[in-house]
Amino acid sequence: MGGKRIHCDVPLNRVEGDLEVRVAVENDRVAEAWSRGTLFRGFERMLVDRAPMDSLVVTPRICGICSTTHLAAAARALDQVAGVTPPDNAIRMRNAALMAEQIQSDLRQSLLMFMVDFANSAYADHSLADEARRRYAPVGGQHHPPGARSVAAVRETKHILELVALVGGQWPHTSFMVPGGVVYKAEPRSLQQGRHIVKALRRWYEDQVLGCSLERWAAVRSVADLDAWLAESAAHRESDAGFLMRFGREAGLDRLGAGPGTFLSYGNLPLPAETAVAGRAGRFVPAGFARGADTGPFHEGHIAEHTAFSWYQGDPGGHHPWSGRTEPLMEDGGERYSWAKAPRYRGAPAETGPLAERILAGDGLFTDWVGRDGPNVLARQLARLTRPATLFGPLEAWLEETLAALTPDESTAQQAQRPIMSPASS
Amino acid sequence: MPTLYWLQHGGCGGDTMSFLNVESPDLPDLLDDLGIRVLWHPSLTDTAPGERQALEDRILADETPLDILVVEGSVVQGPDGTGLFDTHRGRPKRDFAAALARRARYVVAAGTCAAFGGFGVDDVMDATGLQFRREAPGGLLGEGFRSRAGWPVVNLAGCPCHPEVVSGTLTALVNGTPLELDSYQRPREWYGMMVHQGCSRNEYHEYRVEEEEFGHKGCLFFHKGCHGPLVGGPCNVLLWNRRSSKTRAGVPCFGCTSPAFPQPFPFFQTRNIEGVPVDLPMGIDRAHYMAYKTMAAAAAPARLTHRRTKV
Ligand code: SF4
Ligand code: SF4
Repeated sequence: MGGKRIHCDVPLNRVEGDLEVRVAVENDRVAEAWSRGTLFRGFERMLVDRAPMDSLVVTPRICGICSTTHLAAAARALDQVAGVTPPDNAIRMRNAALMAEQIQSDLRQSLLMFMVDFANSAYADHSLADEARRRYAPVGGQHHPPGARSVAAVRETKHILELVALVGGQWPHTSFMVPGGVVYKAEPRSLQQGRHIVKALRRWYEDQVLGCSLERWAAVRSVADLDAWLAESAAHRESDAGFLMRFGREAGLDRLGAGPGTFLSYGNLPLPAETAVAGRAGRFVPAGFARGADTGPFHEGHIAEHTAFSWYQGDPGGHHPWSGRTEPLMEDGGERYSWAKAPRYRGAPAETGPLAERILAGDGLFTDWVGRDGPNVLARQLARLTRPATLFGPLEAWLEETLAALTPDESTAQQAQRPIMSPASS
Repeated sequence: MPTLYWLQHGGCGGDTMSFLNVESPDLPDLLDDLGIRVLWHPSLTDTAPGERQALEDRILADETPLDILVVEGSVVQGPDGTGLFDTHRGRPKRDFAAALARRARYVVAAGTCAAFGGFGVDDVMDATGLQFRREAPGGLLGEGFRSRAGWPVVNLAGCPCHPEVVSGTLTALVNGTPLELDSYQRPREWYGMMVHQGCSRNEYHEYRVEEEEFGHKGCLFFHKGCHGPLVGGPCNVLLWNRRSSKTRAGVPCFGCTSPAFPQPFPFFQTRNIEGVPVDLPMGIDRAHYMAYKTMAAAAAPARLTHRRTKV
């Protein structure tokens, strides 16, 4: 090549981000890139020698935007150790909290952390630049007043988290999932409030984020359907999803970010034994592994973490997390460049997240799109922004089912036999 | 216009995520009402990397005034005191934090990690807080540190810190309202009350009707390791996410506002001597406590012993 080589470190830090991408630029093209974790906390080590239940307190602190997910992982590990399956209502309550958190996370990530970049001066030449600024300029930005959609995202997304507080006390960092279920029997008053909270966010989501009903969105099953949806109404085009498509296509986001071309989903949201919610192999979000559109089963035994290029002692890794070690090694020079370990499935990287989940669930739109153009940034981001559309239905159903399945507890039953009007009499 | 720089250290981002939930005023209104100019916040600004470097250089050169520095997450000193487990622009981030702190009018630690070290104090991460390492004064900045306005670090403990405590503190600092700090430099306004105050299980607590199994209505103090009467904090007065709290929902308080959090002994259990907790409610005498609890249990009304009262 012979051109001048420039190194540039780009921090990615919108949320709990201690990730940096180092790029080497040659002749105005990226010649090489390294993604580097720049922070070591060592949570793998903090649980060693602690009481098993302590994982319910320590593990959520890995991440402040998805702490409930880490709590669920710890609780399921303890369920497994104890050999117990939680009762149906406990499964529903765990799932409800997880879904509320995920809806929050999908919307905050999309509007506050991804689309905010559309307002950046780097896109000044984009034909939608002014509109992007009016919508997505950051809440604390220096150059422009906050965008209307950024402000709306801050104001609306927090409400769905009230549901987590109703079933688990607080968000983030509760520990209400315990081996065998949850700490407390759901109360009708909380579930009823929870239903209102979900409905209110769903209204906003349909009205503003999608610009159509969940049913209308569910009818988008191919790229042709998506184009027809965009052409159909101003409400669709003006919604966040419509704007993402219009801005993203012109910016060429559908031609960037191919990734490894393989998809992995561990599966999530276990189904209660009795439920109207459909899933696959006992989960609402099915597990699987896919190469392109060629999907197959997922075996967690094929997961390994490699450390050949990470600052850790010992062999280059390749161990299942069961047997992996976390002994940091600070080394100057050499080939290591990151505190992040490299997770692999059957020895190769795989894409996880909303796009992977949708492909593995056999979703029409994303299977069609990725089949034609390969994985790309725009598809990935649309999959995230529209994941809540798949969650509201089961979330509402599980709240209803829990209410219907509540058996009056003993004390309530006693009170019912003797109609006591005041708590002071006994 | 007061300026604010929010630096994330070795933490989980939970204090930021929680701050996004702040109510009345919500976050956009709060910034607007106080006229705060956010110089940098990872989730709230879109400053490009080059622009950010220039900004940092200007602050360090005293060309851009810094009114409020908020630090979230623990200061990372490992490995072996080098600080290289957490870097910024290729150098230990703690050096950058210390340099910024010396330019700021006020320094605020958001969350227990930034205040006292929190997670990772005892491991190779070698975490510390800004002006304390657990209970010991010192930390990154040293016991004698005072920011340019003459204040020690204001410690907004909690894991995460309650969002209203962050907004209330920013409001007080911007408006020049005095804040009385306790011995761990936490504002007494929010930490001068016990987590136990306002818990919906108070009646059960009063008559020693205790929860031994999860879901068995009662107080969580004698068996489940609840720290509500042991630590200060506004959880049950302000409530979380407008709705509830851990103890109301049946999750014991883990004492996350304490400099000793996370404790080295197991959560979800109460250490006890002959059935009476080792750690008694703050400031109480053991003999008196035992006499009181025995009488209280004997006087417990049936609606509590039969657990008819809702929590
Ligand atoms: S104090 Fe808690 S919420 Fe804050 S950074 Fe540390 S672990 Fe996260
Ligand atoms: S559960 Fe904890 S906070 Fe609530 S009354 Fe009992 S000791 Fe107090």
